[in-house]
Amino acid sequence: MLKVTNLTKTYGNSDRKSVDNLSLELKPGEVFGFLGPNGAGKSTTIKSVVGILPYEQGTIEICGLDVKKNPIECKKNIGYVPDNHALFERLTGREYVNHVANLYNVPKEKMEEISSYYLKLFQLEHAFDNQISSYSHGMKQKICVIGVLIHEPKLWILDEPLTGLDPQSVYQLKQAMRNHALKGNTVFFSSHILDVVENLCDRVCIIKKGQLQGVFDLQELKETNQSLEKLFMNIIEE
Amino acid sequence: MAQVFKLLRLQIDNKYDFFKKTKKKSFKSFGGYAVIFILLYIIVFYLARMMINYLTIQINREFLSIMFSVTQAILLVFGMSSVLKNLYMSKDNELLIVFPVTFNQLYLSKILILYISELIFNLVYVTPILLAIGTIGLNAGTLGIEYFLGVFIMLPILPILPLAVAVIISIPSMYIIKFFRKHQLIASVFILVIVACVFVVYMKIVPTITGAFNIADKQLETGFKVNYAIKRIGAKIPMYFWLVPAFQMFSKIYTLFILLAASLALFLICTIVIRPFYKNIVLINNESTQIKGRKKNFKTRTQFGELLITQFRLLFRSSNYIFEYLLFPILMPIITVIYDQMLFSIVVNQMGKALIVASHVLVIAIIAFITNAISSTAISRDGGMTYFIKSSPVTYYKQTLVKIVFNAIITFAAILLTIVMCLILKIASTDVIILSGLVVFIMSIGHICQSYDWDLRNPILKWYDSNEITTLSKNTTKSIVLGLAIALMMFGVLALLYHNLTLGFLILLGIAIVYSICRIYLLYYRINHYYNKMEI
Repeated sequence: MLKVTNLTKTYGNSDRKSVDNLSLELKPGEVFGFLGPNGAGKSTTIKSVVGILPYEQGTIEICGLDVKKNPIECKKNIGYVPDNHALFERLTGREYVNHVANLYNVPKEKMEEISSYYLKLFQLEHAFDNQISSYSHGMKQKICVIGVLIHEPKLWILDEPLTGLDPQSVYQLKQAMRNHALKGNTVFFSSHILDVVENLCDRVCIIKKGQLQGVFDLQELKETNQSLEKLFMNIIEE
Repeated sequence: MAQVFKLLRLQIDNKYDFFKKTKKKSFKSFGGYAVIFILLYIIVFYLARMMINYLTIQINREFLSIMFSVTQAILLVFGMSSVLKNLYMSKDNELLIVFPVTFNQLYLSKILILYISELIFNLVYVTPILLAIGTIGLNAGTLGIEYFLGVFIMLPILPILPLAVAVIISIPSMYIIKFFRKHQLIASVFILVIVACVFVVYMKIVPTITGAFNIADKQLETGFKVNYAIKRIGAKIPMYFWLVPAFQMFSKIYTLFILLAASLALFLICTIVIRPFYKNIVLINNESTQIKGRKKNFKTRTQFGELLITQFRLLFRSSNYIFEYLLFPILMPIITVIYDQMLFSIVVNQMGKALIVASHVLVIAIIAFITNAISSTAISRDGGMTYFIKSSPVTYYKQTLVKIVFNAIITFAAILLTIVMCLILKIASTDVIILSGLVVFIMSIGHICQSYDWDLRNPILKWYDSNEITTLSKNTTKSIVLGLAIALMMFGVLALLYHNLTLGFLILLGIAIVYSICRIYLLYYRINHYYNKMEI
């Protein structure tokens, strides 16, 4: 689904590599956690994958297509929830979702069907026709998620999606992520909340100073009685 | 008080570059203001001298009374905008209030920064006007050196009264703004009604004015009428009429002190009265207002159509953007027709006629090019949403085309409306009106592309900021300066070819086509490169 090979990214005139020779491969149907301390290069990697940031070296393939060679086809397969909670705030929730859907050429019936499913899941029906500027942080995050899922992306990428959400919203979002993966899609998300990652993900990877420290199967960790938290701390403190 | 000054210093450093560590920045800041001061003085001096000499206007007590009232009105308008932006709507309220300071200390620091802004505005933009008129009066022997001394003595006093009034008006204004934010349809209707009213008033007043002041046929009579009008109006503005002798020959100098005392008293009363409202409004302003839209069904559109509609929605739902980007195109037909009616009523020779046509083109071009500044923030306006623009499956060419078409529609609509109005009112010959509009529109295409190109190469993007752009960016300044230069070039070509205006228009058409094709090509060639390079 997603294949990153030897990705290297340096910002502007900086000498430091934000992402250094990173390689990853994500399979269909899995929820994949992306872990690392602040400044490790998680957001930079994600932004490179979704086409926001240019990168100097390496290749990124989505559904077998090279991001640099087929940017539009790749973007059609991605849904991205950023960590900045930015939205077109002067649109209503419905207008925003409609806007995204039209950019992805989603038929009207699909818009109705998918939006009503997620509006119900996120309990957002009452505010769907209100302007986004009046939404709370959690509501903005939810409308962003609906916008992203309206075209049923094969690869759903979320950058720190749980920050600032109440327990109910966290639960709803986790449910949505799990359901999306069950349909054969891939969910790739970065987070600092190790408990959630441990419960939700099939596999995780940990990066530090832009370099991959390892990819771990959480089922295997459980079977060997290792906690993700301990593993993470050992790697980071090394 | 120490806390107040710390807050004040923080806000000054944030707003101005005066005390920056690098001398270059401080020097640039002071230098910029000095250039504006000198340019304004020169422009006002020459324009006012031409008008005053031509109509033999007397710089007397009544004239000065009107002049002070007008400059006070300018200060009031600026003060209103500053009070709303800095006192209530400023994002730094949320940041500053979490410091260990009381609301009163924050409020006092805000009032002081408002006074400093008003003082700088008065010094840079109003004082050159007063000095230019003073110089004309000095040369004519109607004003003495004491006028200039009076102006400098009044420099810190003149901003107080407009600021006090602005602070009072700001309270109901904030409630009205809050109402309009909640009911945006009413806000749009309100703006349209205001524009319609201006238009109706204009239709009634302009014929009277142009009829009464026919400078072409009756120069002496017009001069007499203007002087008579000044005498009548000036004497009816009691406060300033009463103040002027202090500037004329230092007689009744006590009036300056009375004004100072009265202004300070009013200012103190205002600030004390307003203080409780400030806390209330700031807290209300930070709360999110539930803005209900109409319940609609989903609609399928092409990518191009969807992006274009969203551009219009985002523009029409922001009072800031409506004011910044739609005011000039809305006013273009009115300003052009008023200006034209005055100029075309003058009976002049062939060169004069050509100059009037050139002026007609100049006015339309200036307004059109100011409108084109929309494109100088086309990328920056997306702010934090740039992630969406870059990650959505729409080619950068299409996204660029949408933004250029969006700007072109607004500019074109304004030019078309101006052409129609000029044709209806028979301002000039049909070919002149249509050719002027056509040339300006074609030139606009190139100007829009160039403005967009500047923003594409150097956008102001903040990952965590989805607020509207409220400050003038460097790209906007560059776009407006370029627009003014092109407009002057167009005026120059027509003025130089006064004996053959058709040739002048053909040359301008040629320049416009070549310029636009070049800018479209350069933009097309660079789009992918700069979009890919853009980091947020």
